[in-house]
Amino acid sequence: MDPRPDTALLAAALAGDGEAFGAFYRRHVRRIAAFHLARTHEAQDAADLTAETFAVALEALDRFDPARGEPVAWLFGIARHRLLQLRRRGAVEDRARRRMGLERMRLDDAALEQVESAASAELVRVELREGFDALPPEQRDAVALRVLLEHDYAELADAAGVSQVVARKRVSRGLSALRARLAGRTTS
Amino acid sequence: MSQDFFADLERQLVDAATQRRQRLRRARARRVATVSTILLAVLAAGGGLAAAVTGGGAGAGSSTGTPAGDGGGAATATTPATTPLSERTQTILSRQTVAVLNATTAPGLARGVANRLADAHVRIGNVTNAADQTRSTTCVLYAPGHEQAARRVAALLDLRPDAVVGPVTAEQRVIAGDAATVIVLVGADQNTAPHP
Repeated sequence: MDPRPDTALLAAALAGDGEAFGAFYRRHVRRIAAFHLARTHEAQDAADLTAETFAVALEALDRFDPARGEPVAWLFGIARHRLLQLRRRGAVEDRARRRMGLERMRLDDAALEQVESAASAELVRVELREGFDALPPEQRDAVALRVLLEHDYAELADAAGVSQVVARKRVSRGLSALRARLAGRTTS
Repeated sequence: MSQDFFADLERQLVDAATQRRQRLRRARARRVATVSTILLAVLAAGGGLAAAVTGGGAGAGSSTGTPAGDGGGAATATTPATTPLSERTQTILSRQTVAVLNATTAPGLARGVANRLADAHVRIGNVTNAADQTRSTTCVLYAPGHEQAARRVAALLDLRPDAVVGPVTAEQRVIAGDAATVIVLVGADQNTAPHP
């Protein structure tokens, strides 16, 4: 993993460092693919939109202004715009890809499945992360201590200054909130 | 070996990012070519072709094209179309005198560059040898206030934007002549490929 922040990667890429753009791509491609898959429900469209999103980003590198926000926000802005174009014209744009000399990839079933599973895994991850952040603080701490750090309930109760019953309740409430959130996601 | 979308796309993007400038330039050239084809078609259809592409005569000095009604239209149409310039570029260029100095020891290089500029209706000043004749890359200099024009001259010659290096020195000024607002120092890179 390249330790440099996104802004440094983009600056290096603009100066002709292709690998820096590769690192930026690796860091975000799954989120971008997940974004597109969640909205198109079509792995081929999601793959095309993902490729076009990064092609536009590469083409527009010199127009990225760090003073106006984070690179991720900029990238998602591009992604949203590509999606809008798809809705408007019923087909995925490929102009930036052609200008940047990228070939359009026709994906076979295995590759489509790969895109789908990577994007879905990312969706679950994002959903869990957001769900976790949205928990009330005492539940969040309880879940973190019990599930992530594997402390026992006596330690949890001790740390929070509550009884073990209360500690258990917090963990179970927190987990069921996360479960409900994920279930809501997959059925919607 | 099965397809791996993420890895394939990454490889393509890294290549494209490494060659970003070249690819952008090529894409722009393709666009210009398309636009000029369309433009020519439109003009031809409107019967205004001759009027639009005049100045085909030998006189490189006057850039005011007279609407040639002499049936020269067919001949003009077959000459390779120079990249159409925007009106603003034409206006800016029409106010310049460009000196072309050969900064190599290869004879005739400056003349060739001057001819290309003249084809685009740029007024040519002195065409002569530079004091330093060891340049490898062509660069463009300008008299104060003429940087914009220098950039456009560089673009006409398909030079990279960083070929526009700065204001002229007193010595170059003497060689180029007082009238020159833009000076092209022709380097050895003009020796290899003629105009594509």
